[in-house]
Formats: sequence, structure tokens, C-alpha cells
Amino acid sequence: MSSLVRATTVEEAFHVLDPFALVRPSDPLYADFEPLLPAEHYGVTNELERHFRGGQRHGWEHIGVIGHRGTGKTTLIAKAMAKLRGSGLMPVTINAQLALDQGGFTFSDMMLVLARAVIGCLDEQHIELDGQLIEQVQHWFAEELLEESHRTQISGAIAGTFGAENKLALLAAFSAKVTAALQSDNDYRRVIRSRADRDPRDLVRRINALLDGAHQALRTRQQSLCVVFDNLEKITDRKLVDDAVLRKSDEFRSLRCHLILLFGPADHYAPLTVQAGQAFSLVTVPVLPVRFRGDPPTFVRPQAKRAVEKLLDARMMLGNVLEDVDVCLTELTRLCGGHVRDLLTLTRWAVGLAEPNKITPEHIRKAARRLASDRTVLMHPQDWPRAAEISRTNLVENRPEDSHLILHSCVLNYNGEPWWDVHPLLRDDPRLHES
Amino acid sequence: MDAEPSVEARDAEEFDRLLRFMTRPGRRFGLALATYADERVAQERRDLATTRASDASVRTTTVAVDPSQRIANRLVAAADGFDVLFVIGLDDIARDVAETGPLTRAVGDLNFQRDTLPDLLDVRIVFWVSLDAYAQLVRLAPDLLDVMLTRFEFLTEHERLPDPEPAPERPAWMTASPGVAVSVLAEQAESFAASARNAENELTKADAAASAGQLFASIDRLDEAAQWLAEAAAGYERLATRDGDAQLMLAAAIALRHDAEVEALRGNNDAARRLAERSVELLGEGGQVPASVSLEQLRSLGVLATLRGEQPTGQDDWQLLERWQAGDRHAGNQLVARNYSPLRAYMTRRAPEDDVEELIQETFLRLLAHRMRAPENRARFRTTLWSIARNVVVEYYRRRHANLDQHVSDLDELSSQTESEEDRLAAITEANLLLQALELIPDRDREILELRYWAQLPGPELAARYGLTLATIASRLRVAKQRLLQAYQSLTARPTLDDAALAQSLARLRASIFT
Repeated sequence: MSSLVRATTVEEAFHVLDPFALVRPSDPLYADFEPLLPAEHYGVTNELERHFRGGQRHGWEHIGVIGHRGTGKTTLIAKAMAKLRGSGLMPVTINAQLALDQGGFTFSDMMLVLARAVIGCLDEQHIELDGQLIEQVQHWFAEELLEESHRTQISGAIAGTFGAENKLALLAAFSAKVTAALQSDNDYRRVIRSRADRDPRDLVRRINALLDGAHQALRTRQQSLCVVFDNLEKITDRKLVDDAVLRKSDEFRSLRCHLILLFGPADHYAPLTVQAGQAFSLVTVPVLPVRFRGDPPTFVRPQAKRAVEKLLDARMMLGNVLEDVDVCLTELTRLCGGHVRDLLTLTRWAVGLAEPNKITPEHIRKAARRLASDRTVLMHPQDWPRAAEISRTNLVENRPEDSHLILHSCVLNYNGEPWWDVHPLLRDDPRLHES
Repeated sequence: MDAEPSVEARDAEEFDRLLRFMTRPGRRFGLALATYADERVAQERRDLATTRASDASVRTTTVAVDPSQRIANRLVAAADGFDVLFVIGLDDIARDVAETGPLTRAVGDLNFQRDTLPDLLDVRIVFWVSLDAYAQLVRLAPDLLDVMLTRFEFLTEHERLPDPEPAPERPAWMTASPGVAVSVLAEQAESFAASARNAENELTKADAAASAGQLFASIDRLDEAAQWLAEAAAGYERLATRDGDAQLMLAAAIALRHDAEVEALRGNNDAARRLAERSVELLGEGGQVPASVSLEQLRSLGVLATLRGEQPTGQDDWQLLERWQAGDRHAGNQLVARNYSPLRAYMTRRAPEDDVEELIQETFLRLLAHRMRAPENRARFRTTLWSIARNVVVEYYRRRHANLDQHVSDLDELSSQTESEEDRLAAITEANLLLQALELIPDRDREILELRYWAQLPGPELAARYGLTLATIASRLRVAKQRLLQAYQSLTARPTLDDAALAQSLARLRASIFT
């Protein structure tokens, strides 16, 4: 839980909008705005819950969650997980950005990281695994994946840290060292990969043996594992995700645990080879429905404005921070385009421009012009005509320009009947008008 | 609508906001980004902010990023005892066009470490980047930018310090062919001069005069060169006017430009300027599309720009561009002449000399083709120009890398005809390893090696280019080679290369890339 307190002044508002001060669903500053929005346009948590409630009856769920960066996917998944915990789901979250080498990772890296995360989670929660299984996994990690010098090095590094009786803690520490080596471009990594890659089916079989053992241990708690690969959508080299995840979807789908993988919309709408929706069941996290298809560009749907109001009101006393609350909320809702992080950034930057005075609509527009530069600076000349076309047709295609525009949220994905439009931050740019 | 505040007034507001960020109560950790148009202005703002914040007992220090070290570790080491860190030294990411340099990798690494920063650091951090580097930072570190608490933008620029009077450069066309004796060239020049005097056909006379002028220039007989080039220009112009021949008009313009360059070398700058202006005028009469710039026009404008230095005309560059886009060639000439020298300096630092003019031309053509407009904040025209120039250079290198792939295949094919299979594979592997190793060493090492082995600049020329002594250049080259060999060794268990083998391999690599 964050230590933040609802802001009563403009200065305090700056801190409650700190992007590092994450507001989780359990936090008093968290605002659950989903119930305010039309379900057909924004029903993310319910959709996730539906999958898992059904999945627990019928088998393991392997789901792709797609959405732009900064649209709150992680928070929404955390919210769904919190609800589903009562139904026996135990989330194991892996931050793909930190756990995998961004310069190059493989399917086998992901499997080993998954194994390490499951072992670590069980160890943290003091859940006993079958002794024989621990020995098998230890043997696999230490004897089969490593060569002798690396094994000796790791054993030396963790020697004496755990008592001999605490085999699971020892395995957790050992597997952590092995997976850490996957992020160093050295010979050890090459050896591990070549051995793990030898037989992908055998690799999956070993992971499943571990997962079965974990579920055996969790039986008394009536829990099942749900592994979440978070931040996959933030990996800028899309080919890595294509190669290691989407093209290995058969292997992922044969894992005997629940699985959630986060993708960017481009992985589905402009894929390199395999479409995310072909590989996994999809749940879309769209931007807030600030407009419906066919609405004029400056129109703001009242439901979305209420959602924005609820989100901000939970963090700050709006009357003390905004000069004209209604007009400011309309401007914020319009200019963020429904993109949650952009909403928070716009508000924070407007605070920075206004303090110690209250925020006016002009501060919001000025903040929007600044925020726009983060996007326009990425636009190639050929992107402007394409953005204008998407704005006219509300459709994207599988082509490089569209992939680029989607990846950097220059065009936004609205739900309902899924449709696309250029981000309002770019709408006033003369290059768009000329295109 | 309120009038836009001046850049200086906006900078003052930004400075106040910067100071507030540094001194505000609340959580100690936080990130911010400051962008700037002029490094000297940024330095002044940092110094002033450090002093002013110290009045509020806020201790500030400036840390330069060291690409060989993880940036987060560097910040942790520097943060001890301070409340605010100013982080500088990121601007070189804009120059790493291949995006493989150590600084680029370090910035990417910091981006991935974003979520760990609040646990590692208990200070406020301001990252300072130039407007040129900002675009690259957005691409390389999007996650890091997402968590910036606030942003400051300093657009003020100091008056440009007048550049020292550049020594007239000897254009490539004046360089004598290596290995040909001066006496032979003199004999040829005399022979062409005789033809120019005696020929009856006007075109033959003009052609001979042009050849004589060029040859005399190449052996430093500048008076005679100027005389014959003037004759050639006059002859071509007469014929072009009579026959309405655009090719002859182009020949006249080239002779005039050559004449201008000779006059500049003789120190007759006024005459040189007049000749270059006339050359530009003639090109304008050659029936070209108004909103365009040809290579020859660019060369003549380049001569003018060198002679004039940078002379503000009172016209905003954006306005000149708009007039040029509307078909006003004169405005285009002005714009090119005003921006040619800095753009040339920019390109020369990034691309082989042979390709510089084409890259400049491409930059100006794109400026026209994409219908650039002044942004709302009237940001610097040069910022936009650099941004286009950078894209042009990036694409140039991408093409070159694509060629490399092709040429490695060619090398493969060629080798297969002359070498054993084993030798052939060894050569290809070595070429690939060397390329990878080159990407691992610091930019300045790579640059000097490329200049020495690829551009094949001799030691004295390198010394002149860097403004260093021969001994220092030799030492820099030695260090660069050591680093390259270390990088090479880190990639392979193959035996190390000796000096001769390294030179041979680099030359071979050069052939595969540039031929």
C-alpha cells in the first residue's frame, strides 16, 4: 500500500501523481472506475474473471492481455487476481523486462525463468514441495543445464547460506543464479541454452512436472498457479516476443498452469508472423471510451468523464486543485484520449505549470503541447498521412507504419466495436492536417 | 489570444520550475528531464540552480555518464551526500546512428532498470539532454520517460561566437592526380590553352579553356587558371544563350564556380563571391523546378556560404522555407547558403567526404518535400534541420549495412573462386568478428580507426584533422587498435591479429563495404 494521502492543495497533488507511487487496488487512493463505464466498451476485469471462472471448470487458461503501454493492464490484472484469489488463484508475476535479457532471449530462457519464479514463490510462502521432486529439479538445474565450473561457482556463492535441511530455499537460490546467468552474454549462458534447447518437448515436460508438483503441494489450500508474464509489451524488439512467445504458443499452451501474457496491440493488429489472437485467448484493455465511433473529435462521453473524475478525485480534492472543475475535467478527458497514464501525466505537468495557483484549462492545453512532443518526435514523415487515414477509416492494417504508430500509442485502440483513432495530442499538429 | 512570451521569458519560468523541483518538500526521490537548445545555456542554468538551491540547503552535484559503467551504479555512487543529481553526457546518443555504441546500450539498460531506481536512489535526478538527443532518448528509453515527474525546456541560445576565419580549402577537383609529375600536367595545361586560343569551333574553345583552367589550378598556377576558367564560363554562357541549351548553361555555372574557388584561394573574396552568385543565377535559369536544389547549385551555394560566413539576413529561416516552398528560388538560395556550413560540418563528422554533398542535398530536398512548417513554439529551425539530417545519415548507414550484407556474400563468392573452403570461411568469419568488435569499442576509437584504415588518411592528415601532434595521433591509434583487438578477442578463441594482419583485415572489410 502506498503512503500517499489524498491531496488538498496543488502542491500536494504533484506528489499523489508521482508515477513511481503505484496505487494498487487495495490502496485507499485507488478508484475503481470500471463500473461507471459501459461494459461493452470497457469490461476488462469481468472478462478476465469470466475466463478464469470458466477455466477452472474446464482446464488451464492461457490468455493474452493486449493494450497500449500505460493503460493500466498490470493494475487491472492485479485487481482481477485479487478478486480471484478467493477462488483459489495464486498469481506468480514475472517482470519480463527485468527477468529476461532485452538484448536477446529465447523460449527456453522463459521456461527457466518461469520455473525459477514458481520455485521462488513456493519458497517465499513456505509451501513444501515433495523432496524427490526438489532433488529432480535440483539435478536438472545443477547437473544437466550447467557445466562443472559454473556449477562449482554457483555452489560456492550460496554455500553456507541455507541449512542442508532447507532444500527448497537452496533450490530457489540456485535457480535464481542460473536464470541470472541468462542475462549475461557469456559462455555459461551459451551452455545453458544449448542444453535447455536440445529438446523443447522435454523442457516443457520438466516444467510441467514441477508445476504438477507445485499443484500437488497446493492441493490442501485449493489453489492453482497463475503465472503472469508482465511487461512483455514493453520489449521494444518485437521480433524477440514473436520468436520466443508467439511462435511457441503451442508449447506455452501445453503448460499445466494458468498463464497470462501481456502484449502490445501491435502484436495482434500488426503481427510479425503469428497474431496474438491466434496464439492465445485475448482480453483487450482498451483506452477509456472517451468517444464512441462516429463521435466528433472534440466530443467527450460523460461516462468517461465521470471515470476520469473518479480516478482523480480519489487522489485529490478537485475543487482545491482545478480552477473550474467541470471544464478542466472535460479538457483532461478529451486530451488524454482515454489513455490513463497520459491523463495522470497531463494532470501532473499541469500542476507543475500552475502551482502554487490552481490548474486552468490553459495549463492543461500547455501540458498537452509538451506531452505531444514525446510522440511527434517519433513520427516519420510517412507516418502523418497514414495517421490521417486511420483517423478517417478508424482501421489499422498489418503494415510497418501502423505497427510503429500503435507501438508508440500515436493511434489509440478503442473498444466496443474495436476502432482506432489518432491520439488527440497529435490532432492539432499541422502535419496531420496537411496529410 | 495572448502574445507568445519570448524564449527568454519562458526560460526564466522554466528555471523557476526547475528550482521548485529541486527544493520542494516531500518524497526525496524523483526524476525529471531538462532539454536545451544550447549547451552553454544549460551549463549556466545548472550552475545557477546549484547555487540558488544551496541557499535552501539543497546539495546538488553534476554527474557525467560514463558509458563503460552502468548508469544506475554511477548515480548510486555519486548520490552519496547530495539531494539533487544533474546527469549530463547523454548527448552522444544522437550521434550513434547505428545504435550499437556503449552509451546507447547504457541508456537502454537504464530504461530496463527503471522500476528498481526508487529502491537504489534517494535523490532527485534531472537528466539533461540537448534537443538533438531528445528524440533518440524517447526512442531508447520510453519507459524511463514515462516516469519523469516533470519536464523543463530551455530554448535560449547564446549568440553564435564568430567562427575563426576558415582557411580556404582546396576543392577535390583541384587536386592533382597522384603519381603524375607536375611537369606533365603543366605540359597538358599549356596544350589545352593553345587549343583554346586556336580552335575555331566555339564549343571546342570553351571545353579546352575549362580543361586548361582546371589543370593550371591543380598545379597552383592560379592566375592562369582564373583566366582560362573565366574564358570557359563566358564561352559556355554565350553558346547556352544562343542555343537555349541547359547542359551548356550547367557547364558555364560549373566553370564559374571553379573560377570562384580559384579566386577564393587567391584571396580575392569579392570576386569569388560575384562569380559564385553568378553561378547560382545561371543554374536558376537552367529550367529547373523552382522548389528544388541540385548538387551543382548546392556546391555553388556552398562556396558562397564559405565566403560569406553566417550572415543573418533579418529573415526568419522558417519564413524563408515557406517562401521557398511557394516557389521562391531566391529564398531557397538564402536558406541553403545560411545553413550550408553548419550542415556540412555536421555531415562531415558523420559520413565519408565523398558522400557528404549528396547527404546535404538529400536533407534540403526532404525539408522541401515534407512540407515542414514552423512548430507552434517556433522551435529552432536548426533543430528541425538536424532532425532531418540525422534521419538522412541513419538511412545512409542502413543502406551501407545492407550493402555490407550483400558484399559479405560477394566476398564469399569471390573468395570461393580463389581460396580454399577453409580460408574462405575464415575470411568471412574474421570480417564478421571485426565488424562486431568495431561496434564494441568507444565511438572515438572507432572513428579514428575508420579514418585511418577505411578513409585511408595518412598520419599527418589525421593530426591536422584532430588538431593533435603526430605523436599523439600515433598514441590514439595504438590505443584504439588495442581496444579493437581486445574486443575481437572477447568474441573469439581465434589467435589474435598482429598489426599487419589487422590492417589487412580492416582493408578487406573496407573493400567489402565501400566497393
